[in-house]
Amino acid sequence: MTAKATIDIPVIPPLDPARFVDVDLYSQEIKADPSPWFLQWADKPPFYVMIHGRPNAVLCRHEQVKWALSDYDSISAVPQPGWGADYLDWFNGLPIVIEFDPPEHTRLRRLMQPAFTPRRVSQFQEGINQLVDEMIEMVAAKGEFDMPTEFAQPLVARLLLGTFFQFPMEDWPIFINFSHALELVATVPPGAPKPQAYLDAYNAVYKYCEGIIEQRRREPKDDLVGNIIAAEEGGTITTEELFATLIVLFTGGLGTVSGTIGLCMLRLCRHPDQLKLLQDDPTLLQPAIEECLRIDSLGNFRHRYVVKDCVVDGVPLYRGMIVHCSMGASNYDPEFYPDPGKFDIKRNPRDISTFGHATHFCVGQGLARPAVRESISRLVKRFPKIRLSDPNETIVYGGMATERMPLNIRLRVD
Amino acid sequence: MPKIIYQLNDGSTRTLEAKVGESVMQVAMSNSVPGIIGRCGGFCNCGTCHVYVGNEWVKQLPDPSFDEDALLDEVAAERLLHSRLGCQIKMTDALDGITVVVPEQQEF
Ligand code: HEM
Repeated sequence: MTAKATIDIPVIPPLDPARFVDVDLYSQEIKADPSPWFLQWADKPPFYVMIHGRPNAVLCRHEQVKWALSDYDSISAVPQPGWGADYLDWFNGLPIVIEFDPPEHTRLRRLMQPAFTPRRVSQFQEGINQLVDEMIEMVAAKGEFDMPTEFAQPLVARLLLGTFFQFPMEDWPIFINFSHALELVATVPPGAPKPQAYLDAYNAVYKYCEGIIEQRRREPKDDLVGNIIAAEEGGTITTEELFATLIVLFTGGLGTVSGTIGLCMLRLCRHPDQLKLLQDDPTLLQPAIEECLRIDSLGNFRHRYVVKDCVVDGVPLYRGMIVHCSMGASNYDPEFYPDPGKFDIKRNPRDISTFGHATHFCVGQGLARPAVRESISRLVKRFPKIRLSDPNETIVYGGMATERMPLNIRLRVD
Repeated sequence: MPKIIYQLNDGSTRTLEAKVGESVMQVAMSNSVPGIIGRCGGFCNCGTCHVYVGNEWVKQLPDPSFDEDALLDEVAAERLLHSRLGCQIKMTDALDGITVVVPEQQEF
């Protein structure tokens, strides 16, 4: 039997046309400000959109998003070729941890988890504070700076690539290039080859990981990377899974953390009253960060595969459909967050969806949170007059198609 | 409905009713009990719903799973003999009146 013949593409029964919404989920408009859409969708049942000729479902309510991210018997994370999400392939077909259901998922997750527990991450707190302060002094000298490229991205590279993974500085561009190249995926039609710039960046990371694996085989070390390599040697994971896991770990936090720092600062600068509240009362830091993370989830959507027919809030989801779980919209569900469009740093929202939910809940959040928190806290403290250089500056958003990563935010601090 | 008594950091206690099957973490989250965070939603992933279970109750609980045990070694506050993750304690009628002490810290 050829590989092709084994592909099972379920036929989707006719769907109620009234349930379709004509919207481009990945548009620059939604990335720039998804709130009008989220406010409309967050208290509504799921709806359908057509993407590349196939109907997809979009889930937006808090409870429904959480359900979809946890009920893997109905909504699976395992990619199904031909179902309509082949174009959402950020890691060039590698079997990454996000694309497994339990119990297989557990093998890969257990390898990473120990490096990100509250206690382990606490060892980096001092280092984070110091790095943030150093970056702050660099931008202080300039008076005006671009938040993503002159603060957030270099900070996160130093934190993750330098401090956490301890790569020599001259090797950082390999990872940074790949992280930037992720936005090139999903811009080509299904079936078309990936852009060369993406493939070059991917191949460079892959080759670098080969080098690390070889080197670690010569000089074994009992750490995160060492354990992952040992798992392959012990037969717990395959060679492909080894590469997938290393690449996701080395690159997954770069754009997400720096993008989130940018979104938080932008939000505060666009709401000077809330910024002032925070500056006047530093005890509001924790709730302020949580509110920033709620109202500006870096990820708008994460996709999954319907593997069992089900009905959600009266809307049928059929086996063979792709579901987009909107973490962004879930954070706007008025049942959980009254007046959700209002940015209120005293709200102290709980149970936000920004880092996902359940088995795939972001493994790196314990490291990401202090990085975001210390950046914002130290910037607003050190620069009482921090503000947008030009409140009318058009912010361009990059990142994966499903994310909103601000690429330019000019700030003045003098 | 079985009750859970939470002993908070400020010395006060909160007594809450749980549905059978609900976890100590879920009940805390839905009632805004301070000091229990439950970031991952109850999937033994984040270690931010650590509690100290009252001595007389701890023997009524099933032993921690491999993953719970590993996470408990790495929670923010000190792991003690009766440390458990709130998300892994599912309420039953037999646990009516269980006391749990909320630790000082869940994350950094
Ligand atoms: C503010 C920054 C971050 C945000 C907003 C974020 C967001 C997310 C989300 C929403 C998921 C769940 C995806 C899904 O369910 O499909 C996730 C998973 C993941 N994240 Fe993060 N993340 C951030 C930082 C990091 C960092 C710093 C790392 C590692 C160094 C990391 C590594 C991962 C990994 C490996 C997974 C997959 C976990 C699994 O499948 O079990 N992330 N992240």
